[in-house]
Amino acid sequence: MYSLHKIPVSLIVFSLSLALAGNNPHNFTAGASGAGRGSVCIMKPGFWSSFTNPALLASFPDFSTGINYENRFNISELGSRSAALIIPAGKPSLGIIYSHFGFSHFSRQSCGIACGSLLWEKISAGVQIDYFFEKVSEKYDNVHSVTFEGGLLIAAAENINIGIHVFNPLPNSLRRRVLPSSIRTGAGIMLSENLFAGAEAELCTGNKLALRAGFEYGLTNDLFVRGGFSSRYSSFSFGLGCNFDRLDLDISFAGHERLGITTTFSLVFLVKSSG
Amino acid sequence: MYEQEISMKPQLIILGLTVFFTVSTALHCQEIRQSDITDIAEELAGELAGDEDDPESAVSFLERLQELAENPVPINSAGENELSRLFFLTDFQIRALRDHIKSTGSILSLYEIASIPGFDRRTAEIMSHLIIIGEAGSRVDLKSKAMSRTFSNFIIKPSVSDNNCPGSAWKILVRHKTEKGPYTAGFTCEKDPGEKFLSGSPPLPDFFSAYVAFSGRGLVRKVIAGDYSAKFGQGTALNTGFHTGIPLTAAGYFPSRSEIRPYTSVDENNFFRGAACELASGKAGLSLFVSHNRIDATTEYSNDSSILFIKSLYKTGLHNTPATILKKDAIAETAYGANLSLNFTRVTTGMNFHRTVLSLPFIDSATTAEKLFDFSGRRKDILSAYYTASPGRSLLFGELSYGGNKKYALVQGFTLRPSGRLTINGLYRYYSPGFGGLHSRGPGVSSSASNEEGILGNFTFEAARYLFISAGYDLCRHPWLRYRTSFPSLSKRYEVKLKYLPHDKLNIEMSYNYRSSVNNEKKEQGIAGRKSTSCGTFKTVFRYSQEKDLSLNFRIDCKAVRESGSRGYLMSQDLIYRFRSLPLTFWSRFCIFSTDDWDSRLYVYEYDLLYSYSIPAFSREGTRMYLMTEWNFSSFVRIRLKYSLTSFHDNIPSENTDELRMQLSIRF
Repeated sequence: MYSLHKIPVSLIVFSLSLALAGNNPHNFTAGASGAGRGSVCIMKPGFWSSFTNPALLASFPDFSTGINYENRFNISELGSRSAALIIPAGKPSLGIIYSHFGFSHFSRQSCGIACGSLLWEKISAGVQIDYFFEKVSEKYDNVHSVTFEGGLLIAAAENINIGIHVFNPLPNSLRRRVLPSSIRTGAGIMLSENLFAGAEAELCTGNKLALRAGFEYGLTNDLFVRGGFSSRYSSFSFGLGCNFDRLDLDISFAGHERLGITTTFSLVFLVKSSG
Repeated sequence: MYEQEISMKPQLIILGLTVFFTVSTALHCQEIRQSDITDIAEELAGELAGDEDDPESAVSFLERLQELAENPVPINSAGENELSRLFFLTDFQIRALRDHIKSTGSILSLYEIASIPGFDRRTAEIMSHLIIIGEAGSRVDLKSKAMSRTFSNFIIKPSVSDNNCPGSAWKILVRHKTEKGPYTAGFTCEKDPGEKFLSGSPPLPDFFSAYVAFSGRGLVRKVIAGDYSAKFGQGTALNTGFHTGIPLTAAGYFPSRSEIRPYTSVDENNFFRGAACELASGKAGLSLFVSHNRIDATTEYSNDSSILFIKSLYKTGLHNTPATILKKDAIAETAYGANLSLNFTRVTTGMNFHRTVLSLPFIDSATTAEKLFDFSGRRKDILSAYYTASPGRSLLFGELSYGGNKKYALVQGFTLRPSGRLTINGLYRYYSPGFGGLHSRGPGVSSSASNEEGILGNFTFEAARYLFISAGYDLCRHPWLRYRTSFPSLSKRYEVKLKYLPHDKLNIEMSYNYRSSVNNEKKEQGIAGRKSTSCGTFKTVFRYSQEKDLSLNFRIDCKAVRESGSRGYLMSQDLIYRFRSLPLTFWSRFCIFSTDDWDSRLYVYEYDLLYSYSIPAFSREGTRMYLMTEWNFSSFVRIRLKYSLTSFHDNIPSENTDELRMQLSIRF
């Protein structure tokens, strides 16, 4: 009897895993800073954004590490835990990320290795190789998947960045199991020295178009307030960030029209500055 | 299987011959001009894709663009006739260009073209691939010695195979053209998937077309023997060229230019075969033509088996089943006619007449209400008169055609330019039910030139620096019944478009297009009801170019069908890279689409082989990707390879559709 319960529970967990992270459950978390902006992050340089669009790694030359915890709808079984490392390697930067989602009866572990570099004066590009391992308890098979993603960052003007990101561009006819694909694009503008605003669109296979908009305002040089909106589930979000000497702390809250609040907390530690 | 092996042999022979020509003509090579004409094709992709009745129009359009790219117009030394080779420009734009050169001297840059009334930077950029800026003396006269071009296309869909077809699954096209001085000759042969490459006696390709042409500057301007196409005036009476519909937000309309030209397309039924000539003296011009050609049709005997008649024309050109092979060249069409024109400084006027005689009659279809006015009998005569006038900063044009039995067509249009930043266009057209001849393709939403009355207005306004706003509205009435519409009906379309061109590298376009029409509502029994269908499509296109070597195109399309509530979404990303140190270019696209049903399908233009086009329709859930590469491995040989794959992600069982296209083009 117990195992019969686990099937619908696992399915619910799986569907909930799609609910907030945008359209694509296999995309890595954006960290609390990105989540506070409504997940608008593929054109805004930052530690966690670099794993959403690997082209942003080129704009993050510091040797850093970080951890992130996302408590989805305040249900511990839906929590995501991530750890990441960025290593500058001359002109390009390398990134490594590990993430775990779920609980004992359904979990998805993923890890990725990314590289981003400035290719032209105004264009950066990056790629990331991803490995996913999905585990469902009892008699269901475990699922292993490997894919890649790529991104571009274009400095269209002095204060305008455009980000483009493609996840899993491989046709599914080459796979035994379908893995979702997605395209994401967005533009961000620094409206003043301390005010950023951006918007994104994302289309993932099997889903409708999702639109997002968000902002980040620097109250002081070290304190940030963030807000955003996503058309998918009409989700509003806001967040706060505080930068210390070598430590960045961020927290965000995102609402879901039916399922409640998702809280994200992240910490980034600067090991060695490039400058 | 044996059949397929046999039918592969001619393909290998063609390939072998092509390679032989490549090697043997190496000493006479000419450099193939690098050009990218796909931008303009993309501009018009929506219109081209929307005309599902007439897919060959798009091919003809691209062919002419490619020809232009290979033989660009020297705009500073060109007369109006030469300038009119830029066929996508309106008469107004051509006149503005000519007047500008006359009044201010030679054009020195593309920026100068963009500043001419009627032009914008985007148009100038498109023209850059098709013109030569500089004095005539600097142009190399390519016509001083013989020059030949050959290209061959080989296309296959590996996942689609039908062993019941008589021929192989390959689609093959071979086209050749040789020019020497004023003489031009060429041929085209083609086989579609499933057709035999050679058949009949003597064995010939499924479609074979050839011509010899002479171009002169004296009394005899042009003589063509073989296959040719003709267009006079607005084309309401005669136009065997392309039909582009009427773009809602174009800066003007396609001009009413009369011409006969060698036929190089692969539409197997819409061309003339015989002889034609153009004569000119002073301000007068005369074109004469005569043609006898066999075309495809479905024929049937009358109930008493006494009369064989034409049930319908068969236009697809596909002959890969016993039933479709029977339709091939089933009837003979004889046509002849003349066009007389007078060209004054600001007024052009002309009239033409042509007669078409078929070897079999069309059935008198008065028994079916929908076909009450359709052509019956064997003979069709059409008389037409047209004019173009440009008083001041405006352009007026019109045409009246009479097809007998009180059936006529009337087109009247204008372009006004009240200020340098504003262009206003208007177009009225009326086609009586049953007016259209076999080759009538005037301006209108339908390519049949029949049963349509409509009025269209639009404007283009430079609202601010770098920002252009266009909007257009078209109201169209169909006074008689149509296919799937058992009552007189009304349709409307409108479009609003914003273009933002902040600098050379960046181009952002946003548009909203709305269409509505009325059709039959399907019912199991009784009289069909009325069903309104309306849909709105929002498009955003973003283009970024990094110097000459990298281009990025990004696109988002959203479509909503009001009545059913179905939605369609599409996002695509293009990356085009040209190597600086290698003669190699790559095109790639990754596209995701998600639509609720076929009604919310979306069309997107794709880069393709030269002289070819691809505007696939996407519905359901899935991805589309393609990779294409072009290698100029010597200065006279160019190879293009394209592999595309559409993969579906929804639960509906279906095949993945992949396609391989190869092209070899040689110039010597």
